[in-house]
Amino acid sequence: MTRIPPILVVALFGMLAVLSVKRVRFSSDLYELLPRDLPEVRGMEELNRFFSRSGQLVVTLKGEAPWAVEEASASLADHLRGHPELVAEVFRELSPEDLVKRGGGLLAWTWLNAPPEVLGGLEARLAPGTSRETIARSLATAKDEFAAPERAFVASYDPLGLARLDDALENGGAARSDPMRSDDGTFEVLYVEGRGVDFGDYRAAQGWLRRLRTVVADWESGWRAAHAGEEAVRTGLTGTPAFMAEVGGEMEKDLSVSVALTVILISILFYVMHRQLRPLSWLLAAMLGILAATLFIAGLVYGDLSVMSVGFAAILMGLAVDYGIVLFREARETGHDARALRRSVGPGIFWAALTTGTVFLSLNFSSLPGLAEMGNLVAIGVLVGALVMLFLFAPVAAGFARDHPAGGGGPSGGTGSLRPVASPLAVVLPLLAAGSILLGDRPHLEPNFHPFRIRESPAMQAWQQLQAELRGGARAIPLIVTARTHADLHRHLEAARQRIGAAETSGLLVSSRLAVHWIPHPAHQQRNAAAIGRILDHRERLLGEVDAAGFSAEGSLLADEVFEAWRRQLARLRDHELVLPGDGFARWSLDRVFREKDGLVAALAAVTPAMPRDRRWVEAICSADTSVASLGSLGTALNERIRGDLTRVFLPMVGLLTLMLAIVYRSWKDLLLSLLCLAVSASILVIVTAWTPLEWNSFNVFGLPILFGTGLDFSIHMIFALRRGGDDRGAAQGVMAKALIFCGLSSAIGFGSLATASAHGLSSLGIVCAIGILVNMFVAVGLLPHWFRRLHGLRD
Amino acid sequence: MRPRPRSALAGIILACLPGTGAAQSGSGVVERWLETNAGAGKLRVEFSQTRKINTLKVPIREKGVLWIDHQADRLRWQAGDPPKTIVIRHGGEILIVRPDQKKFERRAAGGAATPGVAALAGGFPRNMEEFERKYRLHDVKVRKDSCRIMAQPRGQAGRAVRSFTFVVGREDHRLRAVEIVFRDGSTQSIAFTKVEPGANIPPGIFNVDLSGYEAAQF
Repeated sequence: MTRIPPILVVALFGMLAVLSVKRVRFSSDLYELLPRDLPEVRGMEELNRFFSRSGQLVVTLKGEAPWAVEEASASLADHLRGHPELVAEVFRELSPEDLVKRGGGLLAWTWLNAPPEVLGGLEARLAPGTSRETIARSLATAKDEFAAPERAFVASYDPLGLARLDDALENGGAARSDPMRSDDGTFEVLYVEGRGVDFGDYRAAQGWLRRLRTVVADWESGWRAAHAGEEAVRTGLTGTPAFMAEVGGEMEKDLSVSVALTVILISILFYVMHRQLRPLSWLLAAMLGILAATLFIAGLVYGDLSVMSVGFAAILMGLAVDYGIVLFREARETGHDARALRRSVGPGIFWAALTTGTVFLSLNFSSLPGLAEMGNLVAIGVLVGALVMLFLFAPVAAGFARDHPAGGGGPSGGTGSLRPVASPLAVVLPLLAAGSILLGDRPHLEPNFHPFRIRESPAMQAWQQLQAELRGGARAIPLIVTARTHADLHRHLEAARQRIGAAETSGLLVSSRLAVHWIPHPAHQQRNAAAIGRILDHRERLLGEVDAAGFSAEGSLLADEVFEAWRRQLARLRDHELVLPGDGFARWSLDRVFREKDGLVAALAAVTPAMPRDRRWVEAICSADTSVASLGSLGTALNERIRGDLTRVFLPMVGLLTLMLAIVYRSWKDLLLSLLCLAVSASILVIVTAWTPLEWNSFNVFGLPILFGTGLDFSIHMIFALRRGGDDRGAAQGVMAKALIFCGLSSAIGFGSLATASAHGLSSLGIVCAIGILVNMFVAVGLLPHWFRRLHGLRD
Repeated sequence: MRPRPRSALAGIILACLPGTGAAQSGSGVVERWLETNAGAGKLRVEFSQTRKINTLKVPIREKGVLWIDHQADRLRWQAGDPPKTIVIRHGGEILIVRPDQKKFERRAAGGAATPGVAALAGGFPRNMEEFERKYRLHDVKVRKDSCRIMAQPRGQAGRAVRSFTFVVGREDHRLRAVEIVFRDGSTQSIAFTKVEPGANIPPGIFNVDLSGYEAAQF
């Protein structure tokens, strides 16, 4: 036996495991965990690829008084601009003054890109003879106390009516489909373009966010000191950097917390059952070594770990420790050396690892790539675990057993007290389950479940507040149309417009906003150049008329800026097929509805379905080039897929395993007993889910194959022990009961530690599997021996 | 009412100054002004309005008359002589009439209009509860012969407004003027040149014959 102090070995392997965890890169792209062929998932991926700016943080401000929120927003924007090392630019809802100073370029480009007949309307309004009428109308509106205040205000700054876009142009505008201030003015958002770090790296994003949060907090305390009571505002941070930092951070925490919890609880369990510290330290070292090796392999195979796969580590440790326990107990009972140990229990461990690995590999049949990834990692880890235990832990177990021969100890596995109720329970529990289904709510998949949503996420809370405040009750859903060229994009948009129109007519959609006229249109721009040139020829006359009508110099600012932008755009159009807005604000506004990336062009629109969760509207409007980022219908789509998965995967699996059991047992009675164990365990789970808040969802329902596998495993072990026992059946049952109790508890600890995971799906999977494994253990240890004796006509 | 800390402090300082008393505290001034409104069942007010818009070279000046019948919850506002615009509010609806254009529009009271007109068309608050529902009190400044109640309209009406000030007489606490400063620096002031509480309101003043008028959206 090695003379290295066990504590050193644990520390060494612990450090190795910590280093492995630190080396792992976590991917926060949640859509990669979902079925890619669903239009909803494609929509999320495209929304993220084209329209999400990794360095764009959204700062929300909520207060009571609109004026206070507005002032606070302006003040915070200035404060943030004062930190150029962190902030490249801040965009906020334009005040009319800002619109005059900064909106001219965008307005000029919108006209240049408009359908020629729409621009013709403007040209007519500004033609000699009619332009004075246009200016007079603006003046009347500016003076009219009963005109809508915004209309009067804009008219006062826009005597030539340049901001009076056609409805068609306005309808697609980013400002209307993506407002930055609530109708009552008490909520506003700022878009903050970050700088200074690589925002693709969530750890860098975390650091940046921490520094920016300090800057915002500093401003907030200053504002609070100067503006008490009703003038107070609250801020929130959301958007891509906030989500990335949060998801990445939570994943690291989940992995560390679940592994630490599992190690601690399994150690306590081991000590309670075996009262030995030395083998425990070696067992811990082996577990940490398995974790480090599996993380290394995971890094090679997958590169990044997803929010779901972080759960594999705890499950793996709960499963792998069982092999160590089997070796340890066998060594103590028999006194075998390592080679003999491998000969006696090696095949069992190998086949158990293979069976468990197969059950986890079966998760590849799930429609959720994230779940499949987790299953693959556990399968790899279980095989690594079996090898590590057989070849590294076995010599340690053998050496320890030689020095400390078996002397009993620990609780007995006796379950005699359950004898009177064992047989009635075999009937009562399935009946109760059937009654629960009939009387209570039939077990169903939670319709609103989003498996990858992070619990208690401040970024998500801020995002939800933003949705509620800016979009009210109407749930506008992003729609993304893609193409290879601008011309194709316009064709696809037209086709989408027709499908959307039909869906609106049939009542599937309530409304839609298609940014058709905001999408760069080379043909329109080339045709409009001449008309714009003609308007520019009248620049001095038009400005003279504005002055003569009584408008001040401030009243001509917007017109001046538009004329200047047109001059620049026409100059550029001489050498280019297409002009995009050049200045920061105009380009940023266009980027909200149109992006060019990876050789593709994409347009962003919005639709409001009548019933978001009903997928008929998705099927009616989506195509190969049109997708929607709809979380509501995604839940429905996932549930549909999962139901299909269950019948496609689970039922054949049950049939195959039943056949295998029949071959293994060659006894209909034992086959019946194994199936009875599964039926009773399933009944208990049904009762639990019917009468407690625990619910099935599209993620934890895949705990069923896992539970099915462990349930069979437990029943096989116990039935073989009972068969093997002969005259000493009671002793064999006791030894096996103790082993199964340890295995059941350690696996339940592994799964149960995931209850703390931040992702809803992983957490619920952990809870269901922990409960299910405990139920399997109870049935196999507490009830099965009595049923076995009764069915085989043996005395208890 | 729960005065804001700054208002409460201002009240204490004012109370300590010679010639001012507790009655001149922020909430005291507002309450006294509201009392003058509470007593007036019927009211006729002549006013003169000046709007300075940044983008226009010349300020817009108009004179007008306002009739209020609180019991019947009716109001008539008209500007110009002969009137260019007539506004009649009855309950929750207002009727805007442009006699020179032969056009009218009906809309819900509290809808789009400049905050000054909205304040007039909505009628002045007559008790603290109504005042607090419509306005947020910022400060009260006592001058030589007037008190300035600086407030902020709540909700949509307050969006473009930087400050909204009721000017009331220091002795009689009757409303003398309303001064509004907008976010872009434009201003609107309405001076009440003649106020007749308990005025005899001519019958039919709240009715306008709309024959020959067409509905419009101003």
